[in-house]
Amino acid sequence: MTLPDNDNLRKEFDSDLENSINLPSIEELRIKYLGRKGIIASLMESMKDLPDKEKPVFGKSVNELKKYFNTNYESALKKANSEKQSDSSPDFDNTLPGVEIPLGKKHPLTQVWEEILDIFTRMGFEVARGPEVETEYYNFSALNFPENHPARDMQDTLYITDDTMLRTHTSPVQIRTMLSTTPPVRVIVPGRVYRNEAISARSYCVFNQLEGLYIDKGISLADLKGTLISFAKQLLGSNVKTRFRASYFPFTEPSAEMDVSCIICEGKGCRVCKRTGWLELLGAGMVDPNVLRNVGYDPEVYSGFAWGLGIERTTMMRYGIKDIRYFYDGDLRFLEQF
Amino acid sequence: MKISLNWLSKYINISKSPEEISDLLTMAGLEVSSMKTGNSFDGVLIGEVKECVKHPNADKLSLCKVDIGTGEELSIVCGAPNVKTGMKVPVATVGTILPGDFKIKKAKIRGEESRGMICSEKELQISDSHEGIMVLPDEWKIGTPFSDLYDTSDTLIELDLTPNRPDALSHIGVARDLSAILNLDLQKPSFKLDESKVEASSEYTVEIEDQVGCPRFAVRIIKNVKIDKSPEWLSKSLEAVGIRSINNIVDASNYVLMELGHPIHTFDMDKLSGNKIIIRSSSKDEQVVTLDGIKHKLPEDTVLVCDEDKPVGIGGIMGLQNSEVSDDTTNILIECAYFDPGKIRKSSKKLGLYTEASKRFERGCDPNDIEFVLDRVCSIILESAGGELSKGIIDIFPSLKDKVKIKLRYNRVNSVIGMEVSESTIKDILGKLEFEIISENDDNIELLVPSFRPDVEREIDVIEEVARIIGYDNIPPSEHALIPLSASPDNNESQNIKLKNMLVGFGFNEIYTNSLMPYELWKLSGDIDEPIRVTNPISMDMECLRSSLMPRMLEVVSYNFNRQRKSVKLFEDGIIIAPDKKSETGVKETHKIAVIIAGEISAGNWIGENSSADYFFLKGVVEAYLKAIGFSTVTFAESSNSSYHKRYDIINNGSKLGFMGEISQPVLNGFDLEVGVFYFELEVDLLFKEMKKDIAFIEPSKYPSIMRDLSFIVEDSMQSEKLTAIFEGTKTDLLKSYKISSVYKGSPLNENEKSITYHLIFSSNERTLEESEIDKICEGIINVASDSLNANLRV
Ligand SMILES: [Zn+2]
Repeated sequence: MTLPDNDNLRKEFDSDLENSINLPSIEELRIKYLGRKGIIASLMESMKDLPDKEKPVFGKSVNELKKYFNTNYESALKKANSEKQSDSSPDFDNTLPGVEIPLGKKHPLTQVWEEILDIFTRMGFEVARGPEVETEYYNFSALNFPENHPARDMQDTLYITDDTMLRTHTSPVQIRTMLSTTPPVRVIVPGRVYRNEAISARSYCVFNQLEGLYIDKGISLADLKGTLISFAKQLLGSNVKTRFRASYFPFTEPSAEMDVSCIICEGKGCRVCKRTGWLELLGAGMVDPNVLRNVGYDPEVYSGFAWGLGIERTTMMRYGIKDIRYFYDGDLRFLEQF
Repeated sequence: MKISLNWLSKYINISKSPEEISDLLTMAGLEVSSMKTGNSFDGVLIGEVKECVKHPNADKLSLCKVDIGTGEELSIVCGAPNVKTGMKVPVATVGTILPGDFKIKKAKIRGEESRGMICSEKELQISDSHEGIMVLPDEWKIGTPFSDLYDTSDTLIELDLTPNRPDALSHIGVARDLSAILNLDLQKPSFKLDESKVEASSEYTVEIEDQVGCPRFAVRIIKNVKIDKSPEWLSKSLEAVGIRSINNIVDASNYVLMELGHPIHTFDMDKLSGNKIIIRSSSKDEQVVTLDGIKHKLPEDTVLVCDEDKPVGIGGIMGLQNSEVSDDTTNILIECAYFDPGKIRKSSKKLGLYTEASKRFERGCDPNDIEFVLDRVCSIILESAGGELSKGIIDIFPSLKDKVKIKLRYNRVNSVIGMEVSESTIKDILGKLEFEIISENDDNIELLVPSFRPDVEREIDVIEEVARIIGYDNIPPSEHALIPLSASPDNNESQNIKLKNMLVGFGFNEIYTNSLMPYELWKLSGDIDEPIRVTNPISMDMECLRSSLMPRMLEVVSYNFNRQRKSVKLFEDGIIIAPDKKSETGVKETHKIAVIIAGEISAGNWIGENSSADYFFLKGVVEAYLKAIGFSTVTFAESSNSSYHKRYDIINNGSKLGFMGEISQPVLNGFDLEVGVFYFELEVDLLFKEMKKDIAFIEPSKYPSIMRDLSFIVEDSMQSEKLTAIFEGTKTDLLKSYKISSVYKGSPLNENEKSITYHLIFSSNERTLEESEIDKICEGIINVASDSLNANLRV
């Protein structure tokens, strides 16, 4: 007749119990003796190989042992738990840190984009997206960039073939959108754009642009100003001052650049704003009649405005980040701050 | 373009501060990128060197006694080689702060006391000249402040011009804009010109063969000039805008270039063969040596200025060495022409030759100011170099275009700008900008556009001029611009945000990586089709477009491990680009969201185990993520790619959503990582299509539930899904959940066996369940498992 060696197992258990002074070690004790792969479980397991007539006696012996283990384990557990929960215990160390819960963060560029999306969605704009590899037609010709004109030098282009390229701006999506819809059009267009520029603290060959387009009957320069001033105030705070300067883009006429009062010095003049008190936020303008004609809109009936801003630049401005490369290095020490 | 405000004041009488002027220009579209105001030179006085001896301890230094009118002579150590007794010099006294925050202190130099500094032009930041101290006119009175006698009040502004404004590449052009903004009169330069009796046309002729490239070409001739240094006003004017003075001929044409914006070229007439100038297109493989001594092979169809033998100039770009004006030149031929902007730009690009001339011609010079420009430059040459000007201009213009005519409707101005602009304001502005009104009625005016404004071609361009001069800031913004339509905010955008929110919730950080990469890095994607390449990459490191997000993400993992991070869990949302012959652009763009995981699952904690991510952690993330966005029935199918060690496609309803896998060791080898790296990516557009937007809510039961654990012993080689399928197949609706709670191998099981334990939860929404009915269901399951899979219950 085979029986479990209860005496020795009890001794072993007792000595383990003595060493089980905190919750983790008590848990270890449970696993060793009472766990699914524990001693009791394996004794039960071995029982199935015994002849049938021996099983009841063996089973009874194992049950006794299990009861012993259980009782002692449970009381040890309770004791430990009560000790843990008694804040008055002089040994309790609340200066130990809590369990660290890993936090995830959205990229700062995503955060700023989502904020901008939110502002324009409330103004009734929808999102449009387009391809990163574009044809010469959408990237330049349809946008009124004359062939062989210095205007094309404003954007150093990366070519895939003679007439396909990595888009240099999100403006081709203006054309694609207008070709596929009838006015009124109200869209914002986020996306990656590419320039043939060496990587430095101030420029990166890849960056994210945000384009906006609003076409309807009777839209004027005053509407452009109203919309973009409202956007700037929502994004940067109602105290921000704005100014509009005349500028030039082939696809808008009149063209403007919108500056906002420097966030660092609040317009007093500092190094970031080159002592002017102003920072350039975006380029804008009334959509050029040639562009409207290119998509089959009658410029005598419809007018509208477009604008574009760099999400990197805006984010850098917002947080005083001086090096654009941080956005693409993926350094967690940077990303975790936002 | 550098503009001197002193120079500007020759044409317009402005009583505004430099800051105000710079602001006005910026607002009107001539952006001022920097402004440098002259220094006040407080503390710098006129002195006379009374005594000058060698420094006893230094060969190159002198000891000077300088009288600055205080009665006491100052001892000053001076290092300049040109210092001499009797010279009048600028002296920076002790306490003076020179430009560049350089404070003058009492000092001992090699043992000798020095109380002040005799200054060079560079130290005063007047010019770059540092060859010696500045020598002042003898008549300047000792002790007078330097700034009283030396004109230092100029302000230099640097304009960052947009390419549509060639007219603003000149002082007169900038002055014209200011005259319109401030409503002031513009004074064009006036001069007189004495001609000799000799008719220029009897000496030279001009023939234009390439009439497309050169619509107009004109020359004047001056004989018996004397090449010399320029008069001071001329050299100073040029130096003020950063141009080095060369001689009185070259300086004259540079001066007119900066004044009027039209490039001029001067030939040494005696170096020209024959007496005819021919303008033609270059033929194949022609070679020339330009003024700067560099040999160029000319692209075909370059405009060439030739004498009867040879080319003597690349039209509109640069003159050639063979006909250059030199010190012994006596007779000169002065060219002023109009070249086709497109042609100049093409040639200058191909030659890689960008000059002050090409910059203006490619933007478009005024084809109609040529006579005035030639007269102007001749007047300066005659004044500064003497000579006799032959009578008349040889001026050929076979294909000159008429000035542009535009009809401007007043109401159109108002509707584009969005405010009322009076007719008189419009006419004043356009008049100052030299638009000519040729007819008018109540509703509109017909205008002739000045030919120095090639950018103005249409009514809208004229409206921009009006708006620009009024100032955009003076247009009241509309308050009611946007009344929301029944806008349907793009659903995909909010879905996309949700996709990211979930991963952020899992504790993952979002990254952005460069889409351009070197070929070697691209290869790690394991993709078979060659990547899309950029034909003109910035460097070979930016040659290929990403066809997978993985290689750059892996780089970021390694970047962070190198900075002592132990737990890196990242995601990126972006476009990948792969070849596709069928598409319009030859590429296919796919929107992906990808996750990469390496190292500890949570950062180091002082309690609990810090377990490392492994394959089943990856799978758990995939399953949880997909479940969270509404995919509860995905399946996995083994797939292969050389970059992954274990890889499974993720399939939903027969379509492949993406894949997951462990990155293979050979790929990791380049990155010095000692942990496994796990990756999955999903195609976002497919997720959008199937993402669950509506949730079918199920009421939780109010009755207690019953739990059971069932362990089965099966062959080790058996895939668990077979056993799981049995639970799936049970007909009861009481079994609410079943999941694997443990897998066990080893003693007392046989070597080729394992046990799988399922944790089951039963409940009913209608009643409290009986233990016995659950036992019955379990028995059923046990029987099926035993019959179909030979899986036995572990007791
Ligand atoms: Zn500032």
